[in-house]
Amino acid sequence: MTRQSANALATLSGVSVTFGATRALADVSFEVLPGCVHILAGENGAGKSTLIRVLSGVVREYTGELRLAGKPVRFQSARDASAHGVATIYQELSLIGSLSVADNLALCTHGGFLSKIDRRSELEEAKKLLQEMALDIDPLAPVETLPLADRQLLEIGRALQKKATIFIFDEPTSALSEPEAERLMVRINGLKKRGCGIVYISHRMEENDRIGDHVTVLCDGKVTLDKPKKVTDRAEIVDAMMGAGSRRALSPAGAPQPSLQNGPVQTALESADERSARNVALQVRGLSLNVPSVPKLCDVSLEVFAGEIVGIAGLRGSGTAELPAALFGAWGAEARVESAAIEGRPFSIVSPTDSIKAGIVYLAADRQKTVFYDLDIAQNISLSSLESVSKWGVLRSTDEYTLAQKMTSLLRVAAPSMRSWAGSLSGGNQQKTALLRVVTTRPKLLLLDEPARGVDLMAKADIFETLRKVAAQGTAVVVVLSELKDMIDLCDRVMVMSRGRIVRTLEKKDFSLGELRLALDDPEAAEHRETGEQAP
Amino acid sequence: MFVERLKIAMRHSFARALLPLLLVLFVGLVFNANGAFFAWSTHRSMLREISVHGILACGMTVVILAGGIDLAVGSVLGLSAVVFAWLTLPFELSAPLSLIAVVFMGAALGALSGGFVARYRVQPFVVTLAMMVFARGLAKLVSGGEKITVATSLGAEPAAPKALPAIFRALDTKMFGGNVSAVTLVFAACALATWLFLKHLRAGRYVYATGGNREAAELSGVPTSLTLIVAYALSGLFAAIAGICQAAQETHGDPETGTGYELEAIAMVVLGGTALSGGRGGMGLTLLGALTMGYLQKILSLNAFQTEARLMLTGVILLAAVLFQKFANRRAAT
Repeated sequence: MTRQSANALATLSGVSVTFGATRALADVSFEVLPGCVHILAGENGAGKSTLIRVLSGVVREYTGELRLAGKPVRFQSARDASAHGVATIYQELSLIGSLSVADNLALCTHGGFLSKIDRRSELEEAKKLLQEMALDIDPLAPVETLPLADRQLLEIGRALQKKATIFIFDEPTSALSEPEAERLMVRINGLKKRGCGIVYISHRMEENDRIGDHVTVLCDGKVTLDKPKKVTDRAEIVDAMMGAGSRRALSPAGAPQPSLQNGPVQTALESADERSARNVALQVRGLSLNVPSVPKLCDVSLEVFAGEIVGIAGLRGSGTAELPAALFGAWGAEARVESAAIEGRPFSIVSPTDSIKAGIVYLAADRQKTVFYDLDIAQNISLSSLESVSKWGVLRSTDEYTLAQKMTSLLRVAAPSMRSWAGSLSGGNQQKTALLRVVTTRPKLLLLDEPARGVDLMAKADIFETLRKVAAQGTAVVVVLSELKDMIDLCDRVMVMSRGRIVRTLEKKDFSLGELRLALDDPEAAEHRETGEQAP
Repeated sequence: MFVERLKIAMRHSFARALLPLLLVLFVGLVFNANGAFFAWSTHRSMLREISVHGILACGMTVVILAGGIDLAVGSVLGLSAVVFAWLTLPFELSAPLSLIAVVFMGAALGALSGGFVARYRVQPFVVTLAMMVFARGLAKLVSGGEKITVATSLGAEPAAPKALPAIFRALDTKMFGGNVSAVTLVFAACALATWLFLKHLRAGRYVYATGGNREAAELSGVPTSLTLIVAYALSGLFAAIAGICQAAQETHGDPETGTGYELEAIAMVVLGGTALSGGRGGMGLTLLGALTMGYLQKILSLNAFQTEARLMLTGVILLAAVLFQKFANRRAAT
């Protein structure tokens, strides 16, 4: 199936990649055309990452051919690919935290190994680029002090600066809020007009719908769909993603799954009165956080009921990410609180260890902070509840194994065995493993920051299903989500944050995409409407 | 076919550590110095020679797995040898009490290092470097810069030499019909204890979690500070045990003893394949690393290599072995 357009910027033909026993790509052909956004879709582990790694020079051991503008090439390194005009925006950022914004932008752009650094012109260039990107950042600030979303935008900026012709975006929006993602979409359209070729990977279907010109779907390392966007639809894409298999993700009411709870699932539509009859799981008054270079929390008070799933919405920097971390005690004494009670018993927010003892667990958005790559699946799952699989400090490895099996029957982790290293799993399965670790502690309160970030649709559906089951068991769940549709899908209540405060609470009956978007886009107005205050 | 099988086998860290050992043994078989390599006494003395270093390597394994490094073990060994000799010889304290006191001191010094690493997040390299210098100074202070022997007295006047206490001889005897040295058994016991700690205790799992990813461990409710303190305390404790063995072997407490031993211990751990970045490896690997080091030295000395050549060759072989580990590991990872 070698189809070759004369004007293709890059052509992969018959590319196969094998890692050990697994075949990551099997005879894949792929084209990047100028002025075209190529959507690359597929489940986690379908081979998308491998494909772009071939294109960006990271994977060098492959069979088949790669042509750039008609000429066969074989990249020696990622640096080589970048010199040929292939720019990659990775999920894991490649900026150097200790260097300043300007230094990062100037890194490897011009000059040889021993050439002199012209700081002034570097600074000027950085300022120009930041202005172009409409980024309000001090070019002399060390990159590590910037929020994740800024760093990502900066990375995109650096690729723009390199004047590349092919841009590869791997989940660029997974950590961005919707307005930020919007800015990126505009930027990508600009690239398109300039005649650049864009390869775009995102799990957000709406984005793919909006910007895609051409769709290529991978499943188990093979191309299962390759069509212009116009002549295909979502159903066909999802079908192709799952290969010949079922459409499980589309029908969650499919096969019966093992459940934690015995009774019927609580109906989600519940009024405030009904809820108040239930137990208050968490009651916090006057939570404040004031740490330099971290979004503030100002006098946050909230109540969460047992069995309830509360969503936290807000723009980047509004304190959404800091709220669950602060409640968990991850900030230690930096987080000040007037009073906090869990199931009516007062407790002080001091440290993660104490919080876990009190029945509060937290799952950070960043997998680097939640997954133990050097431990196996069973060890990951049991780590926060080792008391239950040990006696007098001695571990019982059969108990640990049984526990892991029980938990993975609740949420399936695809792996050869419970003794596989977590580091060898795909991102979605790592995320599931991390979630199982916190769920295993049987918490009273579960705090989650973006539990489905960067995972495929099926994994997301599984994760949400698990959260519903956990909530039905009586656990209170507080979850930060950046996708509004996920909010509507999962949450019983949504709290909207702005500038470190909860400015609005929406009940399930008031949910609609429009309402949520409005509350997010204009939280100040919402705040005034809510409190009746005058604008300052 | 064989090569393919070998490649698959090399995915196991244990196999990767075993291969250098087998290679060294094979060299020993070929260059057997007129059959000297086949005599049990050769192996017995090799085991005796690696025992003190090996005991240090036990503690070092725990510390490295916890994401740290302990440069102070050589000095703590020296200090322990001096204090043990001082307690038993001029001070004439009973052997059990002396043992307990010295082991406690070693653990306390280790815990102190661990405390700084855990509480103030100072780099382990710096903390233990400071401890290394401090402990060496303390050893010289306690001993007055002299070896503490049976002739050392508490007062200013020299005393008449006494008989060497039984504990010194007990630790330096050969047991089981003269086939195994007592220190080798101490080493074996330390290795077994470390293996049990790492594999079967909750604390051991916490060591792996803390070393693998400290921030994640903290957020998972792992008592990382306590874990680090315990890891360094264990290292100090093993250094004290090694110091007692050293004193027994030398029949005196030398304030200069143990200089550079920390590097020997680190080499054993690294040769086994435990990652210096923490979280990956284990005691079994260190045991293989220790044996590889021991046999290497033994074979070189059997074949009458001079010290200069031995040191240079050891350096080259150490680097080659670690490069091999890394290369084979990368193959396994992809």
